[in-house]
Amino acid sequence: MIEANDNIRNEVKQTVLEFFSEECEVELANLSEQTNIITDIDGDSLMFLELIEVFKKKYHLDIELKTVGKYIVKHPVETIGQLIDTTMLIIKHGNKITELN
Amino acid sequence: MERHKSAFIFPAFVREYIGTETDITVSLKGNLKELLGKASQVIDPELIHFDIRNNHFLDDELRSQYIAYIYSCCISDVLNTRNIVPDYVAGYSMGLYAALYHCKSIDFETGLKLICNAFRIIHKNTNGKIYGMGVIGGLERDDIEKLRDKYAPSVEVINKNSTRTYVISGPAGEIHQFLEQALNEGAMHSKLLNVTSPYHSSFLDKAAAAFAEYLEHIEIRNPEYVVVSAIDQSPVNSIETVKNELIDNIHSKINWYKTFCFMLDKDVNTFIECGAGKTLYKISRFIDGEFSVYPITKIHLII
Repeated sequence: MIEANDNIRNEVKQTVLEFFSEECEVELANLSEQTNIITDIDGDSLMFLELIEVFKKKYHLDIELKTVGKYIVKHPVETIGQLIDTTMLIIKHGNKITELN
Repeated sequence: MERHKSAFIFPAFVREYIGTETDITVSLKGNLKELLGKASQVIDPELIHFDIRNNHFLDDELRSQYIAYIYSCCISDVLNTRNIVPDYVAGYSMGLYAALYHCKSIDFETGLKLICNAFRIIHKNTNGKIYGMGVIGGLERDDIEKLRDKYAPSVEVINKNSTRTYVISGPAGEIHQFLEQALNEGAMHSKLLNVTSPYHSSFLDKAAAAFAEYLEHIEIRNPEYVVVSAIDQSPVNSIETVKNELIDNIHSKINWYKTFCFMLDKDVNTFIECGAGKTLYKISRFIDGEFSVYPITKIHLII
């Protein structure tokens, strides 16, 4: 299992920022962890779904999408920063993410 | 040498605009204004007042279908003017009308009349009942079927967009219930579509029969390019198959994933989304393969 350290967080952050820059056609410099995915850059939950697929492949994560979905219902993601944090929790806890409060 | 093939894919009605659609047609020297003018004379005078920012008709089911069709026809004309020829053409749901326009199987006015009459016939045959449609992303097909059996037995899964997203159609109350339960079950995406008709479901069997009668009086020509059926991926390449596709498109399930994969299997690696928004581009992100989909925002890169 991959260690969810600062290096990985930076890697995740870079991937997320580049993804939204490309998909939402927004300059990279105009994106930050405070950017609201829906209201600021017209993103959607399908993009999060796609990103999870990207990270599943990149870090060989053994996690069911619906497990992530159940977690997100209780812990909604609005900003890019929250998305990065949630991704880090997925990397760290895998399918046990739903056991977190 | 390996030959790269291309396909023109036509989206259904628009759920949301990017916001730059009109500007893009201007930069491509498209004839959007002219087509809106023609449509307002033929089918609905209000269409001339279309404005992407202030009067976009997204809350009007019929007019939004007209606009989607008109915009797609405009892009089709741009591609034709530049002599860009596709190897395949496919229409997603009601995108079929614009696909047939591109193939010169129907003319512009006929497409508008088909949309109008399909809409009226569907409403007449649903007896005032309210229906709906929705998209679910992030659940496996088995999970969706179980949810359906438990909470919304009348609802039909009418389209597989990709391995990750499915479209449902049926009575509005059950659709709402279905979408809510899908989130509880772990769907990461659950969205109600802005329609009140159960397109592609057996609720429209009678409507399809009535539409078949209407089609007997419509002039249809042989398509100039091969249209891939979104229903069974067969070639739509004659007057008879066009008519059958138009009828079946009302009440039969479609499978966009299989349609897209069919074209990939035929070595298509360049897809041009001929329409407003970028719905088909977004769907394609969940389909594996070596290919590019160009929505209108990127169409200038290849034409």
